[in-house]
Amino acid sequence: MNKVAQKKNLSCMQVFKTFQVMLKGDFSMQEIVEKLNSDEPDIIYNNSIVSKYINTCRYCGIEIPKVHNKYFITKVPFGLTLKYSEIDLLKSLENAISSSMSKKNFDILSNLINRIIGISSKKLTKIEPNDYQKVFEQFEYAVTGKRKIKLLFKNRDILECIPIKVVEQDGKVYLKVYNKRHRMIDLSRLSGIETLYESFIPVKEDIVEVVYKLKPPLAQRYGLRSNEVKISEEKDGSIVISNQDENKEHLLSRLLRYDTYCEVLKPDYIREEMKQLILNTLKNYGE
Amino acid sequence: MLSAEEKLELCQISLTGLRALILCGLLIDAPRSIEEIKNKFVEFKLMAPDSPNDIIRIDLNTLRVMGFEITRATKKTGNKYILKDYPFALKIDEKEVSLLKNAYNQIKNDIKLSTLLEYHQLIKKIARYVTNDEIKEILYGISVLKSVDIDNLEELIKDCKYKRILKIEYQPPYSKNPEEKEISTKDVVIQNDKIYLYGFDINLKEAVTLNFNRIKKIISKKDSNEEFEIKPLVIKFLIKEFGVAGLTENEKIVEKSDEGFIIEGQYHNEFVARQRILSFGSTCTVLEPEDFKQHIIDLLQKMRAIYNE
Repeated sequence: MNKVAQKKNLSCMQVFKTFQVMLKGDFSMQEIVEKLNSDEPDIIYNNSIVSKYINTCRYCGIEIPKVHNKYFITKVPFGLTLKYSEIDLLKSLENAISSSMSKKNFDILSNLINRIIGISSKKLTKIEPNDYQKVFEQFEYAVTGKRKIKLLFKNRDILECIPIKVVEQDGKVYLKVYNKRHRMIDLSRLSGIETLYESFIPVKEDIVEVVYKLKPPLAQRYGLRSNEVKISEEKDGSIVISNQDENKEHLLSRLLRYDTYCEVLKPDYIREEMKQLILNTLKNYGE
Repeated sequence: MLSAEEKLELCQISLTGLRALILCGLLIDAPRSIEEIKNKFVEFKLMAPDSPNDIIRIDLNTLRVMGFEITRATKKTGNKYILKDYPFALKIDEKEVSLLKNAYNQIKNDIKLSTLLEYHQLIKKIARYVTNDEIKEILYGISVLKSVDIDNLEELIKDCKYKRILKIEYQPPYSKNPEEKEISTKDVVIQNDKIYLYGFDINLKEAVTLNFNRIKKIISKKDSNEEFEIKPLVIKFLIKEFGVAGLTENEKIVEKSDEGFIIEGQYHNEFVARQRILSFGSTCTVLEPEDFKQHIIDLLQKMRAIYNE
């Protein structure tokens, strides 16, 4: 191996280590220094060195506001940055399948979605006196998007709450929020505001397998869903499909669309439900 | 190379650290040759033009020590360094990607084409930050629009917005020879994972629904103020209660009664209307037109027969 390949740059490694520690969470300068030194045999890092490394990160476009004496990475130019509308898409996907997926699977998916959102830009704004425009925009967005917010007070208190509206009273600006009761928060008491994305959705645990037959020509052009497998193919070209873990109402609604090209085979109670659905629909027409 | 002010500013930062961070960003963005990296470093005043390339090689080696998996720049890689993995890359496992696919498949039939397009771009964006090639491939394969020419589709959506008249080369399913058609565009819709252009065929003087994949070429397009009357199939039906399906853009409540809601839906063709009505199940009764109502009854009777056999 040549000498160049073996060489490495120490301060370059230290900048990266600092960046990686900050990616793991929001820490104070002291905490960052301690975390960095804990991996070293001797004390290498101090406030001055780490401060220089944080500046280096900022210089290359990484946004690191300091709120409550803690450093928050809110934007990495070479990292995944999701727009609000994209976070909405992920959240609506999560909401849409909350009742049709088993709890175990839903938790895995929800965790993935929150992880993706988590590594993308954090919606945190440092509140500077006399520069409230960004705060208003973030607050209004949270109201429209029906998202909770976290208010960071100058006295280090933190309040997770539901944003209601911006109110102006006697020349002062307040954020009207709700947490157990309505509260009016004086903007001058705040040092930061963060938009949260967490939601609580009831999920169900049952997993049901439904077997149905599709007849030609639909059978030939049918694209199996990811929760489906083809069990068998019959001589006339019909296929038998096993569908797992799909919301029953969605599934029956979809299978009805295939009209005479589809027949539910198992389980008996779902077959009976499908039959009843058809009979009830016919009753609408006096049949 | 640097002004005094710039030098002072740089005293507050680690120049080598800055180089490493920028190198990291450059490699996440795309594979790079040593010349490309050097050009960027020179552009950002992080390196003098006559500095040796070994500086970059040492930076690359430092990243490798920090857990970055970077290939060597060989002929095989087009003399470029390729970033295969890095410590803060987005890690998604097989189970997670399969659940994401499952979730997408569950909702894709209930959302508009424009939303599907947004999901398509989002999934592509997420995939860019995944370093595992297999997972990346599965992610790229999730979108129902994966094999659609997105630029063409977006252009077509724009044409519909401005109601442009397109002269197209269209490959009909019943013939090997393509046909030229002149279409006054109306809407682009997705049905059963296929994209259709809905419009008015100026030569045939009738409403048509054309498979997007069969449009081989757009020969010309022009703006037009001429209004072509396209009569959609209008179905009036009673909904007792809204179950899993809400109303779509082309459906509206025209009356509320004790029995439920009377809805008027406008559909591009009978097939779309039939599927839509059946999907409501027993909560829905077709009121008019009579021939469509009779057609639904006939279908339901045949379906009943299947379960009575």
